[in-house]
Amino acid sequence: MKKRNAQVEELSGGTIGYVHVRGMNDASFRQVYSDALGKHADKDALIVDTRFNGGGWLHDDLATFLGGKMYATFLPRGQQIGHEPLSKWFRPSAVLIGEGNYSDAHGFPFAYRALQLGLTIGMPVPGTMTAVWWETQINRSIYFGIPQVGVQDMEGNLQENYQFEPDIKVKNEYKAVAEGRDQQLETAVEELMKEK
Amino acid sequence: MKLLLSVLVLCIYGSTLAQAPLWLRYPAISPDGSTIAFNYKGDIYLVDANGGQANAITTHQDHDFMATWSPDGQTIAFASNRYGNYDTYTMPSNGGAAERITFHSSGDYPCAVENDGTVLFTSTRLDSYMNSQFPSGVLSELYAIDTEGNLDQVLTTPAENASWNKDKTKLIYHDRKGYENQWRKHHTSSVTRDIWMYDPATKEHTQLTTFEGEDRNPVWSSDEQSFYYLSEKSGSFNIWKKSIAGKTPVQITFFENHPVRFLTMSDKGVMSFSFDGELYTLEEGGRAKKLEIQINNDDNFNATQLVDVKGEVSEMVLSPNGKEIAFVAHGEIFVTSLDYSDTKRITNTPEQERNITFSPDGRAILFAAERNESWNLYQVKLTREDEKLFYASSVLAEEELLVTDKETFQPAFSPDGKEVSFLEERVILKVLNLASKEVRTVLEKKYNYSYSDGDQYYEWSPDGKWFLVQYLPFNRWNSDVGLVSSDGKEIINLTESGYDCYSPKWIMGGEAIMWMSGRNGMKSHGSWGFQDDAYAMFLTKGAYDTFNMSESEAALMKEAEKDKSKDKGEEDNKSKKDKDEKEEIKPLVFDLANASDRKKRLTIHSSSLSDAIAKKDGSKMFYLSAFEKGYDLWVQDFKKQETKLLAKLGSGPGSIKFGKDESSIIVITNRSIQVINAESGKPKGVSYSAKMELNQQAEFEYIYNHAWRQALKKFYVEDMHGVDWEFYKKEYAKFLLHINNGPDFAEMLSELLGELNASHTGSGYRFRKEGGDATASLGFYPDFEYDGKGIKAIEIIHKSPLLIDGSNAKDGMIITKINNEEIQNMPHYFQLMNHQNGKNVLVTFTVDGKEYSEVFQPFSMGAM
Repeated sequence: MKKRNAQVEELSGGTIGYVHVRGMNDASFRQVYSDALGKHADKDALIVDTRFNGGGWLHDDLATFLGGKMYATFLPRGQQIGHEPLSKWFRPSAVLIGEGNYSDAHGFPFAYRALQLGLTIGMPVPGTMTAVWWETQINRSIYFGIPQVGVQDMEGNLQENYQFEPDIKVKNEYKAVAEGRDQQLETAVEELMKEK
Repeated sequence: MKLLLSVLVLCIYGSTLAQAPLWLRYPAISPDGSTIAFNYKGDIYLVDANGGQANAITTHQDHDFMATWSPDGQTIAFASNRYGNYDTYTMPSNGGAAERITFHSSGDYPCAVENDGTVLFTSTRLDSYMNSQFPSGVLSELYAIDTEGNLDQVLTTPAENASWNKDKTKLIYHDRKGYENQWRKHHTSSVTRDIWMYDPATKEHTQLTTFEGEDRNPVWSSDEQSFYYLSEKSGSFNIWKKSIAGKTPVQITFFENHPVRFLTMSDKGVMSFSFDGELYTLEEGGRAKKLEIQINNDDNFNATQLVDVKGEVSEMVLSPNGKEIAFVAHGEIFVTSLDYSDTKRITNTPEQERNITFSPDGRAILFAAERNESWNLYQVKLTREDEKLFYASSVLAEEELLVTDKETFQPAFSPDGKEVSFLEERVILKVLNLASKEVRTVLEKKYNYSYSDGDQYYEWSPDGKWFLVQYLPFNRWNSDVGLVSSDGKEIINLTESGYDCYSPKWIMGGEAIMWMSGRNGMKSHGSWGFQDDAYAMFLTKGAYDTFNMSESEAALMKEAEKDKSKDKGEEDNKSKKDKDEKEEIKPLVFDLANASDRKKRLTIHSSSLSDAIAKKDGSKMFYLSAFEKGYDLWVQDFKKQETKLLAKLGSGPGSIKFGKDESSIIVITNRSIQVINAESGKPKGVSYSAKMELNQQAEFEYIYNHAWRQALKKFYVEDMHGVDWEFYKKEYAKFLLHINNGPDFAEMLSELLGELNASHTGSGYRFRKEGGDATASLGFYPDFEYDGKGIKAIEIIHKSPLLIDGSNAKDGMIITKINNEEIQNMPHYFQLMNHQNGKNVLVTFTVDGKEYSEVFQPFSMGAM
């Protein structure tokens, strides 16, 4: 995490922020909120890393958070002290995704694209955006899952088994990974630098 | 005819005796091709490669599996969960004691043994310090451990089923890219496995297969110019062959309907694998040969066991006379006395019983049971006139109330006992008239969606004219509280709130209701979490006024009422006897026009609220709420305007009910029952017992059928993805007789559910072993290149316990002793760190040639 942050800092000359969304849950959201509107508040763009996120339920909150549009500034006596929205990210962003995004971590890039919020970069995400019930049995050591609530897009496609293709497909090669490189992250920085 | 019948019976009996073993998994053929090691009932067996009598080489009660041979055929490595998690063991292939070779509390699974006895295994411990991937629990590393105990991390990126070529210049393996149950079938997506080859000289990985579905389990061909593997390219897992340099794979087997699993090959090219629970061998160009195998072992445990399920209570209900409570534990019904320790078991089935409720006269217990392929309604009755209590009863009679092919559960008697309401197919509220046997619908399917069993709420009004329900009145997945006339003709939305309103209950004799909602509480971002409050709505002006009375006003009113009844006393005396026997049910008259103005927030603070109940007169509310560590029992006195912690429980969430005369609170938390005095908050011991005869085999069969039907009833599309679900039910059911342990059962169920080709399927087994290993961590990346004494920390993780103020620990330090014991090698270090989480540990280390001994508190692996 710290390494990724430092890497983005270095590659972008301090102009791009990096946040990691560990799970699709409350604690992860608060970390993202704190980092994005805290240490990255004045950055030009934000990289949102969702790789290997196993899911939860956060797609709409996260997409809404990243989908802010600036419409006002606060200007006491000519001093600019902030913007509206105060509690949303309104600058460009890009989302890192991969084969290890599962469940609601498929739901989030899906929502991010549906709301046209920015680029998705990395590897395709398997279609797993279906709400599950893991039912514990009377022998409480045994459980099993039933995918129950399908999610359908506005074109009528159920997201289950409907793979999400990234806007820019980049694979992290094993050799590079073992040497500490993150090619997907590098691409995200490049792309966001282009947008500037 | 008679003769024929007896011959038939004999045949069936005979075939049971000689029944061929099934669910034979994880076969591995020996390098010389003579023997196959495989798994059956949690042990490893050996059998001649041509079939015959198989003999177990492991007998341990825990789960042994995944045998793999050494190249000389002298040693077998396997995985076993004897110390609470899977470790790798080795043993002589002709039998003998197993030697444990890995000691970390992560799962260590062997995939190959090298010429010098080094074992390759996968484990998810800690990536290399260089690895740029965010640490993920699904991405394992590949390790090698030699016979001296020296450990090496071969690859920091996931490489499963890995094996070296003969001169150890190339490693072939299949990858793992993310989550997804490993037994899921037929999917094509980015997460499906591919086969790769790794060159240690260049550190390059070359992708050998590109099919968009599963390619896995690679095996070197004898000449090492090609490899065999399992692929779903034909739609079902089959053996394929591909040359390392070539492009087009060749299909070798043509099985259908079931996957070919666990491919291995002898030096001379004889393959072994498992298909449909049986073992096969195959020589390329030949036909696959199914092995006839006999196993004549006794079981190593009893078929039925008397088990204590006291700590598995899921629900309870107080009898009308207040003297006993019925409860459900491990899917069985029990009744226990509140005053004595007498407990009687009411049911004894492998299936599940639940949703218990007493009849108004206390002589019957109504319940739902999952029998004969659906949930049905039953009642059990006291049979002898002189017996009034279930716990002390002799003979009980069980009768069917409603047995259909529909799922029916959550039954409740109407207050007059003449009707029984229930849920059909999880959400349709219906009523059965016990006299006429007629069934009517009260609330249709469109008003609810059940996510998990037990999430629906409804209650008869005390006068039996209404139901209070939790329902979805709008096209928005958010529930309101509704009032539905018991003939189903009228539905009134009482709450009309954008905030979820749920768990409605009648209070104050039906003149008011309470429910829970997150309106005032702090909300979680996502995951639908929020803090709740309890709210009330008063359906009559009188109830509202009574509720709002101060303590003194209420006292005055009580006096007045007493006087009134004294005056009336004489004339009433005569009719009193009749009244007692048949308590009159007064019809409720609501004033709903202004009810929404008579709403109250009952809790003065939002919290994680698990349950709340109010006294009949509306003077107090008891609730289970978590502020600090765990849930505690709180009381709100509406007359004194006082909020008090009644009993510190510090438990998980649960449910509460009133005991007799509302003088006590019966609590179920952490799956156990306790009784708390409603005034003093002191616990009153209930010494109940709950023992049942558990027949594991029968229970597995029940769970299997249950899971199959749950998937059928609840899968996200009705067409089951076009899978012939009936066919697979039969196909997998035949294995049930051959499964005697949780891991095997979960794997079999995963294979069945895996046929649906959907995410979030599969089963798991949560194995817990008392005193199981827990390796504590000092939070550093070990240097696997280092071969001096002790362990070198190449990089200390920033959250490491080594980085306390004043410590001399730094990157490059060499740890030599733990608690003064010299570290022999890495596995020894893991042994020394077992169960040291949070303890004071003396660590001796050297930095720049200088030795230090300092005390640290290691943390658990998960803390990083």
